[in-house]
Amino acid sequence: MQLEFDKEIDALLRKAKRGSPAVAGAPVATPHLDADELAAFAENALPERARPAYIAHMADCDTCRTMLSGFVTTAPEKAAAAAAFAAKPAPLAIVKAPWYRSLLRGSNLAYTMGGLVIFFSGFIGLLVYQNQKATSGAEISRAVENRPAPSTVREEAPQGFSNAAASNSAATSNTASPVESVTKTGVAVGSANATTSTTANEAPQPETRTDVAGAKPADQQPLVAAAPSLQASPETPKDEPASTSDRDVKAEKERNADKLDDRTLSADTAKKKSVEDQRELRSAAKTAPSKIAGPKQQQNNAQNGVAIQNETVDGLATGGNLAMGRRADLSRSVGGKNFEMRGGVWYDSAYHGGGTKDVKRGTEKYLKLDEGLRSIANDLGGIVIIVWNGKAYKIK
Amino acid sequence: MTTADRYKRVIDDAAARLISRAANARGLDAEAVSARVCPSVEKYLLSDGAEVSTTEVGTFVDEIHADDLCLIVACERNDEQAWEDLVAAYDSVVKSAARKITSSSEDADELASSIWAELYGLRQTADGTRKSKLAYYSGRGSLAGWLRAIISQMAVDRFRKQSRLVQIEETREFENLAEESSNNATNEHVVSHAENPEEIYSDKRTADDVTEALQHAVASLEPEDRLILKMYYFDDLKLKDIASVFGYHEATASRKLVRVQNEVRKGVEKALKTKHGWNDGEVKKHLAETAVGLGISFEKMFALLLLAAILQDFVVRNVL
Repeated sequence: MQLEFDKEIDALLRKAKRGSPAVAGAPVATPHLDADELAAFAENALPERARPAYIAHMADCDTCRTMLSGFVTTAPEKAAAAAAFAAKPAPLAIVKAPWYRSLLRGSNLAYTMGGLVIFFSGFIGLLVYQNQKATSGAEISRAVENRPAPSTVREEAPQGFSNAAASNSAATSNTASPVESVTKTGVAVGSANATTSTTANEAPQPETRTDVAGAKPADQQPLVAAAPSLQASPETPKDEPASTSDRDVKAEKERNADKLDDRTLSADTAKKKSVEDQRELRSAAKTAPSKIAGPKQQQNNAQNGVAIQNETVDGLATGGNLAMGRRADLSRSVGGKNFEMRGGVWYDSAYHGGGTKDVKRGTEKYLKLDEGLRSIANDLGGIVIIVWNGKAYKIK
Repeated sequence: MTTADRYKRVIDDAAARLISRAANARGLDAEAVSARVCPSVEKYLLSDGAEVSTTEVGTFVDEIHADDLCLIVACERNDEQAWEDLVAAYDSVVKSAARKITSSSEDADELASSIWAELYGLRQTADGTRKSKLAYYSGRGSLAGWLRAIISQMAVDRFRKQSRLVQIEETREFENLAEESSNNATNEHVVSHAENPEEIYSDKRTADDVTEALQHAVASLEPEDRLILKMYYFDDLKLKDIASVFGYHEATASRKLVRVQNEVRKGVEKALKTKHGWNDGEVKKHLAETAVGLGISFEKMFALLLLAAILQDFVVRNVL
């Protein structure tokens, strides 16, 4: 049984509600209902005998009817529901109009249409905004990837090396550039004749290797393990640099190495030591945290104007410089991104915590990753946490 | 001998039954309850002077909310425990109802405090007894419902007082003018763009005739149908709420409303034909035109669309 409201009468009655006294009731002779009567009426609790009189009053008394309607409206749901089902439910089909009917009724249609227009405009605007944001993010990412390695990498350190330093004074000497280098005492730790130092990070200063004659043992030096007396073989710690910037660094360091060939250390010796240093450095990076000189020390060293190695591989250096405060074990810049070694893991400087997507090398998942990302991960080796296109990956 | 005295024995018996079915009679005896029930019987059953059977009276008392009435009677007798129970059980009801009615929490708290003061009875009669609103509770409805009804009435009273105060302070001339303007259908045509005065006059006559016919048709309805119609159209009550007042199912209320609409249509058509001499075609045409003309405000729709367009333009220019 389908029941339909009479739309024309419906519209007329709604108009009557909007202020016209079209259906004003007759004057009411009986007194207004008190609270007890009102509550009893609303709860359908009046005796059957009295009820018609109250209904007749309510039908014509706007004051009482309004009060009753307000009372019913503010009633808790439970009370209304309980009263509603005081009588047995009618078995006939419910003819409740669907909710959207009310949207299409009368003046509501205007608001509905306007609301829909606003909603869809906002939605489309939001989509456009998100697309533009994503596009610009991708462009920035591409620009970063294609950007050449920082110019400082190619610059020679103003005080790239120092011959002077077979003494403690040389050990406290410094470089004017913000060089982070790794110094390690090699096999000859404690030997008065030769201490091997190697830089193994992404600093603009080329990797240095210094033989020190007559230097104090590393553990007696306050800041660095050994004072450089000679620099040689400025090769990067990696055998096969993957990115352009790494190749640039390597080329630069090789040029520096050529210059150093003229110095007291022979090229062969330097090369051998360099390779040796690289191996040790890699093992140090993977296993033991290296130590880096604190910024305060760097500042002091910079004042001295002498090149210094201010990062020391832990376990290799035995000097008192280990006590210096440091944040990262190593830092490198690969593919235009900066990485810091902490606890045996390379962290992208752009990573600020949060969830990572774990990917193992060699898996299909890994091969699906962006080539640039894989290149960086391969270049760094070990566990790498890298932020790529806004997502954090943990490459194992 | 009052009318209630004739039913004294029936009421006493029913009061005894009431105490026995109360979960907590609070130490009241049948006599105390009977004395409290008698005025309710007078009010609801015997006020029109009609003859009422003893069964009806007994049923009336049996339908009273026993626990609620015992609680109120105990409070009237200054039972401290009863007062504590009353406040503990119904303070939330009072505050909740006050919040729904008032516009601010401060007003709600103030209203709730006033209710409790009225219930306790700050004023006293000549013999020293407190005048409390508790005396008006009959127990027919629930105590919670009665409290909410009191709050509604107090809120309306306050609103009227405040309105009167405001109106005294303000000049009523402009308001009267606006009200008169809104009530006068003629003024709609003051800003009308219709150019033909005859058309304007004809439209006005048509609208007046339809309004008068509608008024007549509504007045001819049965009181219950009229009340249902007014609650639905004028007070915006949902069918579910209307049904709860009359003890119907929602579907029943819906069917009743459809039937009432049909009756109104018949009444309107009949009045238009008999009083104003319209024929069937005119009735059909004018009713349809009137209804269509009332439905959608194209000005509002256009304004909303324009607003949406401006908003979109702003977003595109400034945000994107």
